[in-house]
Amino acid sequence: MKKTKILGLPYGVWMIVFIVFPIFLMFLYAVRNSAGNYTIKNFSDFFSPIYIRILWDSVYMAGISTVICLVLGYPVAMIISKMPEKKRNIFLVLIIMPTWMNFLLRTYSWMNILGKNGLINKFLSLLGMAPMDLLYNDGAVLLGMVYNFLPFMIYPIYSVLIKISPSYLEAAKDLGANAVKAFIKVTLPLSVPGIITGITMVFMPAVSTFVISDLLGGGTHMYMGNLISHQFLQKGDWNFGSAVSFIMMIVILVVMCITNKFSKTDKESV
Amino acid sequence: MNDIIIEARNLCKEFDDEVVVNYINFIITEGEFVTLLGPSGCGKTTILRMIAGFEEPTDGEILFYGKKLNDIPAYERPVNTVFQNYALFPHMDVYDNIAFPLRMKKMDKQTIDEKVKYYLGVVNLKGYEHRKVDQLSGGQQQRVAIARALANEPKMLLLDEPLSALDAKLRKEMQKELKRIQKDVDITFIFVTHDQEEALSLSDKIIVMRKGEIQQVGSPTDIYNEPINEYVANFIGESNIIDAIMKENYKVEFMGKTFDCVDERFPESTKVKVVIRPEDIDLVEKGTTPIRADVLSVTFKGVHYEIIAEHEGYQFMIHTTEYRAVGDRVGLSFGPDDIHVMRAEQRNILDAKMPEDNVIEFLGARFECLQEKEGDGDVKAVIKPADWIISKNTKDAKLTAKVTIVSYHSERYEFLAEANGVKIMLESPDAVKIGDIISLDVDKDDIDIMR
Repeated sequence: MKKTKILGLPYGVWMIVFIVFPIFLMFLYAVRNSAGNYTIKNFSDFFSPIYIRILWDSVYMAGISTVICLVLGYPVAMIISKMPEKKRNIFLVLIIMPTWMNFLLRTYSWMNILGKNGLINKFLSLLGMAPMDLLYNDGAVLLGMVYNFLPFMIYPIYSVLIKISPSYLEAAKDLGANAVKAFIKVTLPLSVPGIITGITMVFMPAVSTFVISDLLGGGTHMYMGNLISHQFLQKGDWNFGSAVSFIMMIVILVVMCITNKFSKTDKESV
Repeated sequence: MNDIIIEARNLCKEFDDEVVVNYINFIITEGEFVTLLGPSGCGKTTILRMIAGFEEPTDGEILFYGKKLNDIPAYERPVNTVFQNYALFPHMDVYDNIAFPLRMKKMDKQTIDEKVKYYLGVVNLKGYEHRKVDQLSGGQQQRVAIARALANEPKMLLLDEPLSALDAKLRKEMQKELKRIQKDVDITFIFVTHDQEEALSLSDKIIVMRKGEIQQVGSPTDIYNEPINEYVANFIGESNIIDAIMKENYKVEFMGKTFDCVDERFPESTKVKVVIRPEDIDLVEKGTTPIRADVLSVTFKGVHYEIIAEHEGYQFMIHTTEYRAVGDRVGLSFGPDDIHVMRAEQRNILDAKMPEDNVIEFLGARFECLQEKEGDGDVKAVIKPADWIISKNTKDAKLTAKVTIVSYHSERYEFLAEANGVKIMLESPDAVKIGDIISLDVDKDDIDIMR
């Protein structure tokens, strides 16, 4: 008992220095003004229509991209989980491989594809068509999010699907369920834990991203991530920036609590 | 009343060129408790999965009341399976598991409720409706799996080693339960197991399998008392197996002595094997029997002692309630009923000549073989009856033969044929008649060469 406590010490120190202390520091900034006096103004300022709108837009965009990732990712995860082992590994690597490349680089390359003189518009002009405005809109931001976060949806769903014993599916078919019914009644409910993890893994980075919305959205819309980076980097208002960060942590916490509630009711039966 | 429910015709299954089920035929009648018995890898589970619809036969067909089952998907087949690991849906409680097939049939709520309660009663699990599956013991999960399969009211229940995950005591209990449930619901059960004791105590009919082929089909008493060959004798219970010669009907010679027996049907002087079960050998006074043996070892087995005793180089295993010490000299006795005569494995030993490497000549024909020529090339070719490639098409045949004697043994024909004046033993799943002219060939892998 004592020994494990000693072994755990470095981790405890690590967590205090790099997690608890910075959060505490952020909290201190959030509850003070630039003069150093304690105030709740930073929080109350946030609850104005303009910022609530930004919060709503962020949650909305992250939500849409999570749904798209789920709809695209689930079938892919399912197809891969049914492949023979060798083929399965190749496809998994192919899906994970883009994440080995720098996130910024990947987002920049989308600018080259979608831009005014980008690949697509060059192709269109070859066909004699007028160039289209593909970049700097919500569609481009959504595309960037889905492209970047899709692997984080596929992987957890895949790892749950692969563990579901094929005998459950056989049993369902044996008991009169055709392929569609067997999926709805057996595979889908058993894969809920993977779906929950996937949603969390996609929603969290999507709601707080500012790189994608900056580069592909071109600042036409401001989202939570942009708001925070703007406060810190442009305006230098660390106090308000910290408060917004706190609010976003709370939003994520609430979303996680809701999804956890789903996975808990599921865990009880699993 | 006892209609044929399942008939397998030339059923074959290959996985990646490996033959798992090798062109077998069998019949199962209504209301039977049939066991497919064999060691792992003998193809018994594959047969079950083909009946259930999880595997497609490579060749041959399965008939259900005379109707071909091959193209009907698993979810439409009137059979249900109890899986080895039960495969109870972990996200549903006991009630929902049993209701699953009923909901698939879109029955109304009240009917479902009645049926679930009824089948919970059948498996003695009343009051467990809303337990979670993982809160049940292995035996209880087993019962839920049976109730779920029965709730669908199938014509036939398939059980894939359902008792193998249970401990010994529970297994005994579930054996009795299975037998009772089968009587209660009165449908055909096909049971797969590698446990001979389970097979003997449960079944109406046992199909003994080995390497994808059926060895013997019969009632438990038939199979135990009259094993058709050494493999079945060894697999079903323990046995003493001795080489013997059938002198004439009811007389068999082994260990240099002639014994009375109850077997006939064997041609005179056929090489056979006799099986004597350990519990059929009695320990008697030394003076009253010609078989005297020295006790080599004694093991206490709970209900009986297992004694190994040796008589003139022959070792016997004896199960008895009487104690004998190691080194004792004992008399052994067994009656004509206790001697079970079975066929020895047959081989054709033919005079042959090897004119050059990898070529062998016998019965006036030339064949490829796998050996190099040595010395003058005079050898013997040894070929098992089942290894001949038999065809009714005699055009361009390298060797033809005329069928002289045919006998039918549990799904296969054994027959003698005469080729260039030499009688050879043959075996085939296809029917042949006396007087048929057949062409013969043999694969180079199947020719054993003796000098």
